[in-house]
Amino acid sequence: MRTIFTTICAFLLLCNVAGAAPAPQQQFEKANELFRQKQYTEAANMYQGLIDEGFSQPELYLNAGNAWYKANKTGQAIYNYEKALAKDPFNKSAAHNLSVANQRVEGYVNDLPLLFFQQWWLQLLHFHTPDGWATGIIILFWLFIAGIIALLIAPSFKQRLVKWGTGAVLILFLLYLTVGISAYVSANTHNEGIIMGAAVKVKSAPDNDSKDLFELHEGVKVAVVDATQEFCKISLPDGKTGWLACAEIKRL
Amino acid sequence: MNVTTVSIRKFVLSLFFCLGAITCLQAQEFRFTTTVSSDRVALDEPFQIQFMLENAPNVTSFSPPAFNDFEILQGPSQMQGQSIMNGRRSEYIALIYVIQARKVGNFTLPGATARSDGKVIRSNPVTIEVVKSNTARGSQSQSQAGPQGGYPPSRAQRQSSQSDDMEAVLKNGEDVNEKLRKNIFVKVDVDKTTLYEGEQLTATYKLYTRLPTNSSVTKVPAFKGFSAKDIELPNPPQASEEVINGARFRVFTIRKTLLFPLQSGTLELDPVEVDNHVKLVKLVKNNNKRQRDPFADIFNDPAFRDPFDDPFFDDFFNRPEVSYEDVPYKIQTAPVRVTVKPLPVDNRPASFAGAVGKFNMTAAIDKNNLTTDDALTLKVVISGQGNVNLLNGPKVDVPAGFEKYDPKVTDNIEKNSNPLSGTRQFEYVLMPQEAGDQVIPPVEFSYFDPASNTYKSVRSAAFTVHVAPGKQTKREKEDFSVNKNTITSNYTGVLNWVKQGRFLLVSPLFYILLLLPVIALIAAIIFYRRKNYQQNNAAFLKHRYANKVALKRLELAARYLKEGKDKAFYEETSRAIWGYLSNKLHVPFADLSKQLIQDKLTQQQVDEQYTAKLFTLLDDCEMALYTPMHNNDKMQDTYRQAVEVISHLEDELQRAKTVA
Repeated sequence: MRTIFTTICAFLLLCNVAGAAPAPQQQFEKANELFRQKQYTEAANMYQGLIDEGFSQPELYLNAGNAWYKANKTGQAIYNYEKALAKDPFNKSAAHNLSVANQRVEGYVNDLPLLFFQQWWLQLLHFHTPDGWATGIIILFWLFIAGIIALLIAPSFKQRLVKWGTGAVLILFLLYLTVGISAYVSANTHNEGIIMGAAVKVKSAPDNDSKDLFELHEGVKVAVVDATQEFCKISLPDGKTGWLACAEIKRL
Repeated sequence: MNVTTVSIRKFVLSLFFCLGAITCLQAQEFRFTTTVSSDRVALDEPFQIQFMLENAPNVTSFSPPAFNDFEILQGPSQMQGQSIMNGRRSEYIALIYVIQARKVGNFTLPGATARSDGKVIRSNPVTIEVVKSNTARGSQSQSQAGPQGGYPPSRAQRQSSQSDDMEAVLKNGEDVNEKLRKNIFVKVDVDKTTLYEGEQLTATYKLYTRLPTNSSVTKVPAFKGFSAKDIELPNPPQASEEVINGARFRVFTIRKTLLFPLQSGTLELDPVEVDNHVKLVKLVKNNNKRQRDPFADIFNDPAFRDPFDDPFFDDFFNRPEVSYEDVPYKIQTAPVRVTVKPLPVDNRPASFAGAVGKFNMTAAIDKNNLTTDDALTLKVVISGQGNVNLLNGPKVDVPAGFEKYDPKVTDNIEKNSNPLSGTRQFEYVLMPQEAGDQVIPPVEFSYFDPASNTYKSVRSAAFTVHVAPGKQTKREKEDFSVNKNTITSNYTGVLNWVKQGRFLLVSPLFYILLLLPVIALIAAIIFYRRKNYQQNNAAFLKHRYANKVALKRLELAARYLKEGKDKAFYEETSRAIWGYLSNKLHVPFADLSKQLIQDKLTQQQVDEQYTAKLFTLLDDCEMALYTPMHNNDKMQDTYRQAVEVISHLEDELQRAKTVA
């Protein structure tokens, strides 16, 4: 029995090692080296490979953005910078590079800066990772239940203290629950996207024959408000809306 | 001075030519100079720059500087000549451009270079201050017209004009205006009146005359809506002869211009205005003989000579029957309208950028192998006939790995070609940003051929370039364009390679972990409730099951009865009754008293007789317990009574409860 168990363990371990054959760090460094050699497209593809594998470190997105930027793929660069910022909104390099890349975007409309309470909320959201919030929710819930149980079963044991403690834990729990859900939702909403086509005609209705309203260039960030099978309704920070093919947008 | 002169725009050129010649005569040694007509010019004012090489032996090459901030309007026109002054011969070569500034500011034009006797020599640089133009276009043409006036007639013309002499004689009774109208006029010839946008139109302004006249152009056409390119005319103007209505006219070409319409519609060619001073000879009746001034001889001295007083006129003048008249006469051409058709829209190639004519294109790159430190030059040369001076560079689709800069445009337009022909060269500098094999797509150039009414396209081959990584890494910091920010460098540290799996918030584990304390809580609540039940609700249950309990006790009592344990029997019976009452009336066992029971039972509206029975029974039990009297029958009786009392009480209380 024990031998079977150990063999299974060993097998799993082997699989794990084999699966991660070129360790991500090695691949990352190789991509960095390619970048240094000015083979930007190759470097960008390598970073992209790592991202596709499921890694989502802001630094990885930042480097990928830099490589795409150097390869003159502005849309891809902006997409990756935005991703890095979504992961870490206070990453100065990503914010700077995004603004540099946006200078290349034709018809770029400046986003409004966040208001102070939006800033606070953003800071709060990123105080923990989404999983950190979830862990907090669990721990606080346990504490809360423990408090109630204590009150129920041992009413005579420092009742005042336990009551206050439980109340505080409840408030904290509710806070964690709200913020945790918001963090999860904000990490999983894809209602913004980057235009990838060089010059995309925005139509007045979701079909190809409708009138062209205006043109969007590669790298413009749009909000996707509505979508059909093929067409997405987008809105711009300046209030313009229109329809364009969903294939032209890469959702964040 | 009875000679017709037609001034042309190039007057200024020759002025400089002369100036150059004079300076060259004064100092005979070798000189290479740059001269500008004015070192302070308005933005849209054309001016002239001349590079003159004097007394240079064996000149093999002569190249002008790059006119980066200026546009070449005309030129280069080359002059060559020699002059002799005070017995010393000097030779000169001059290159003259008419240029116009592109922007306001101070510009220094480097000198021209020439190779003389194998040595490279360079002329002096000049600084030109370009100011904002404050004059309209009209005044510009006026200023051009200015120096064109009073052009000194050459001897050749004067001789050829002799044939007009007879026409210049105004006969008696002849109307002066009529005579002028018939014998002197200007005309504009166009080679076509209907043409396509961008197609060449040749307009020739001609002066026809049969009279001796001193003419000057006072107004030159502005050619609104056209791009104009003047043909250089022989200087001094050459007269040709034409016969119109049997009369022989001498024809001077005032201006010959190649025009390229910039817009469609009906365009008008502005008229040219010419001021003439026609010298007419009047035959006067011979009765007032002119008295000769005794001092006339003094005035006949060449130094004092009147400009009109040349020997030819003297002949007439000296004859008494002839008088001389200088008649001013202003004439202008009739305006000419041309219809400009827009270029057809059908089948227009995407690469069409306004070229009309007949062209050829070649494109070449200077190297196929380079590193990211190098630059690549893509040279596109368009040659042919048509609006060469207006050509736009073909769009070059450079792959993403290159940085492209605005092309350098070099013109080489053949002087005085009609139709306009020449080459225009575009040099695109491409900076590879990325190593690897790159393909520059073919360059395409399209033009409209008005002869066949079709669009034609010329395509080059695609270019494959191999870009090797360069050595320089600090190059990245270099800034090639204005105000370009650079991105920050890459992150090269070690990352924590953790994949973002499923979010904990949506994983089953999260909910299991949340459910666990809930289960614990439920367990705690059940526990609590049980405890609570034991503490509080037990009374109710006791009440509910009091009868059963009492009967159970009585059963025990019945056992004691059978066994004859009288003390235990009474004890048990008494306890059963008291217990029953305690449970049923929700009174703690310790608080029970007969009075309380009495009150409670009356409160529950239990019949008095049962209460009495109950108390009797209780008294019996007490008696039996505390007095040593043992009677088995009595015990039997007590037991029966106890069962009876409890049953009755139960019924009564049940009834009372339903009533209540």
